[in-house]
Amino acid sequence: MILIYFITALVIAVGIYLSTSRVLRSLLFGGFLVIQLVLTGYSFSHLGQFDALYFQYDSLGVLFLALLTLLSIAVFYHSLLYTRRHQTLVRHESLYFAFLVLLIASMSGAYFADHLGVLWALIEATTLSVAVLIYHERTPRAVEATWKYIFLCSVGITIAFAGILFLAAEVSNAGIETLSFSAMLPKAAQFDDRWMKITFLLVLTGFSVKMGLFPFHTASLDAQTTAPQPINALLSTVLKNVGFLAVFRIYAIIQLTPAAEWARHVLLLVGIISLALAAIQMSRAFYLPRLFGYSGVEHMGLAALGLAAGGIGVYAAILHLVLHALAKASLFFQNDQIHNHFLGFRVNRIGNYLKLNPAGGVVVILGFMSISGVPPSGLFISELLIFKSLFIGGNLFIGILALILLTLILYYFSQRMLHLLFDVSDEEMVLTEVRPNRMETVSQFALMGLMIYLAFFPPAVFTNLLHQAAP
Amino acid sequence: MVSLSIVIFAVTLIYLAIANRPVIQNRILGVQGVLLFIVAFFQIGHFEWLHVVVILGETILVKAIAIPLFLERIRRHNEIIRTHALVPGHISVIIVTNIIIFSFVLSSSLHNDHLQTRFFAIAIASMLTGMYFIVSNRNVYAHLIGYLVIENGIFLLSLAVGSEMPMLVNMAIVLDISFGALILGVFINRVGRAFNGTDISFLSSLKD
Repeated sequence: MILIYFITALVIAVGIYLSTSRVLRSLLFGGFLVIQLVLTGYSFSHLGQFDALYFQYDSLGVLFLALLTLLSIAVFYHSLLYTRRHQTLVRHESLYFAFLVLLIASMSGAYFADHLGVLWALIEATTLSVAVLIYHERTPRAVEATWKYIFLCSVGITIAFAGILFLAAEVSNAGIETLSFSAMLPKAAQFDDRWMKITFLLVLTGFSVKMGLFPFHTASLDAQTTAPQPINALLSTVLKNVGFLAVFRIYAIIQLTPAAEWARHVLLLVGIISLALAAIQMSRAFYLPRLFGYSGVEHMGLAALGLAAGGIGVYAAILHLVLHALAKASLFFQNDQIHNHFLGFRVNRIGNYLKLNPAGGVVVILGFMSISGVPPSGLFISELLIFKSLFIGGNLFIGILALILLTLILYYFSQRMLHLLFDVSDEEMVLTEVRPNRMETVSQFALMGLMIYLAFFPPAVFTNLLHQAAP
Repeated sequence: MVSLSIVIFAVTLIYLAIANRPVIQNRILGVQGVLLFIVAFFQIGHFEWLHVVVILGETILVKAIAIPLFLERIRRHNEIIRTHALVPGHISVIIVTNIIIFSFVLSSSLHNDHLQTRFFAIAIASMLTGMYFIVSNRNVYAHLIGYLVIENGIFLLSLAVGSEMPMLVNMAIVLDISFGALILGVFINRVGRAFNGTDISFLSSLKD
């Protein structure tokens, strides 16, 4: 099935690239979304089974794929609005939608990759496809952001590959002939802890570029400054989940080796440094997409802390990523509407948004409450569970420090959001002739409603997948 | 032959430290590509046509010919005569020499039945030199050269650990790396066009 999916996605991407008609392009993309839905259904009904030698449909992959499919539909809708609003050449629009297909396909493949080499190649493929999307506006700032993103990602992923090679050496020692996760896990206890420490350090450093964690957290931040907002909705959510998944898979192996405790401490350290950096940078950030970018660093830091805490923390970390994706994507979709009302994104110069666009303003209020973890946000539940696991696990100092940093982040974030919603705007920044379209916010309300529903009234199928993903 | 190639590879790293002309840097990359072929060719335990063709394609065709030619085109297009290093040449030589010594000391302290320490040492040296080259230069062109030196180090590391990926996976990885280098190269042209230069000081407009 997955091979048919890849081939169809490739054919559709080429078709979109060659098409000059907007209708045909939309039809082709619609066709791709159908295939995406089919893969989601197929993977769920074939849970635990292998496909095309190098792929396995596991619970975490299915969960992340379902999320990606849902967001892809919303991204398609908002991309249509975006391309209509920002009149660009037909050729550039074709390139945009063609590479959007490739990005979604490579992320879908990465979720199910059972072979470490395949996972690496698909993650690199996400870098190359998203680079074209970041460059879409073709401004000097877009050139700068794209260069920085590709370069940092390439270096980061190369470092991760070095880690994979170290693991390969240890795998050979244990008599395993493949880098398949399912083959490595049963024999992981035989791996030498010194080699596994090097592996984990390199892999965590390398894939931090995708996950948006310290030390390579800046790569996606610069990209988010100039990328189209629908692309940001993917870049800061489901693409970060790809990075998390890669780290998660290696961490699962390392947990069975004598280096488990050491790796746990490294993850705790990286998580808390990411939170600290997010708090420091947020104190001086006024550019809205970057502000949301730092919020992404904060949430990935929290997910790392949950993973390191273990037990219920792993469950909470995965739940946190799912809920964060729904809330953050809504905010990025809303960003495009904000940009429609103002000449820029500097929150210290724009304001009174609730009056200019009441429906959009409510989305901002809900989005701000959601990603800050204020009830009824679903993230309140996941953060509560993460802290519970930290304290139960005896990580008192890290837990208290994380709470202090979250308070600082909440302070800076609320300051900016309240200015955007209620404060006076610089007159020259306001575009007065814009008429808000309430229909655009429907998808954002739907995503946030889903986030609250999944956290407070989770259906059995959702909790089962979560429990299987975080045993 | 393999040992000689490794020694010459180490010399190219030191030479790269003092080379501030892109023409020379391209040639060094080309020489490294040839050396990688020699090393990989003599590593094959049993002769297999398919294996040789893949190695030939990856090293000679891509690393020794295609990439240096592509880089030369970029260099001419952007009229890059020199890449301005932040560190004087003689200091860079000392640093890179120390990197090589450190790599050999490190490799001799590691114990693994499947590890070939002579490859491992030069692989680590190449990766560290590539990183040093990136941080010590202010030109995006030099950054790409540094990245490619790291990639060459990764190639040697795969030989050192004796890792054999399945053919399909290996080809996907090579394709990804080649496309990565290609896109980075294309974006050097875009940077040159957008900012009338390839110095990284131009790339500072993205602020909080």
